[in-house]
Amino acid sequence: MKNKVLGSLAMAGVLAASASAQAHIAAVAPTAIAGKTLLVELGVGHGCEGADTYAITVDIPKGMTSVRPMESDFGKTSLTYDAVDTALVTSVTWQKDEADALPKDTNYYKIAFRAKLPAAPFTSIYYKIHQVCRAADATLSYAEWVALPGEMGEPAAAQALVPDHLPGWNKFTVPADIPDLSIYFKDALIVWRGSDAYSFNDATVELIKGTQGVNLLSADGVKANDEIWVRY
Amino acid sequence: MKHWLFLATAVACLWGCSDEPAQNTSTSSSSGTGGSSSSSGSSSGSGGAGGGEPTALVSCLDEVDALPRPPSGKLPCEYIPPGLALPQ
Ligand SMILES: [Cu+2]
Repeated sequence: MKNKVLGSLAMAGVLAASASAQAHIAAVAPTAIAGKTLLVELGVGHGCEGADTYAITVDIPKGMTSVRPMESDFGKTSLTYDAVDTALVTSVTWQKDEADALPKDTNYYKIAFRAKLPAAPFTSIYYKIHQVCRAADATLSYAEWVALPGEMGEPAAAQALVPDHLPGWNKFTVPADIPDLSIYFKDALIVWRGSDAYSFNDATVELIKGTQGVNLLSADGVKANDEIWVRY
Repeated sequence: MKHWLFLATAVACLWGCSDEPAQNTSTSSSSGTGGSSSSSGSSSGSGGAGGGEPTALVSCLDEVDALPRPPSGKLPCEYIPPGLALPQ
């Protein structure tokens, strides 16, 4: 579908050459827990215009530390480090041996690293990703997954940072306006601000509407310094 | 999962939130009695040996689907946060 849209553009030729119109790379988990050390997994949906993915480089977002990549189907990893803080990993590259490159774009790949996430709940982190593909005739092509929201280009992979929580009731004071509760609370049973309640689950929304004394809390209804109760 | 739901409902109702589930416990235990007498076969054997009185635990497990659960039209009390009082 994207190809059709792009095909109507005058720059279609240029874009086709960049091979960026077809690939999608995304975080396997849409959310991650702020301030925790955990496994970040990125899924490489497909290669470039029929060519297999040959190498992936992930720029490590600012505020993310203690990065330790895992080897993958691509094989070994290589790291780059910050010029000043020489222990701080700034990017990870996974690259196949040429002998392992597939003749066609047939496979899904997962790459993973463990890292400590920024302690910034109710924000999103973005992984800028550089994809290299290799065709059967050894031609290389490139896709750049670096666009932040509102920017032109293929989107960077994103994860929403949620506060650490336990099953049952959790009380949070929100540091900043939340534009869309569904980004952070899709997996919560219910979210309360005062006597206003929100749920991503339509069946629960019906129950909220049917309960006397309770109003429906809109997805953009939580503002900075609000106190909310969330049940997971 | 269902055990958990039942426990949560039971605990919430001990706190006086809802009126139905307490009834339900007795309903299920009495229907359990009926069940064991009417079936009069394989599973009622152990109950019969104990004098025909089924245990509450067995009845509840048998009748777990009869417990009230969403969608019931309004929020179950375990969805109401601590400290919030709603009009009854
Ligand atoms: Cu894609």
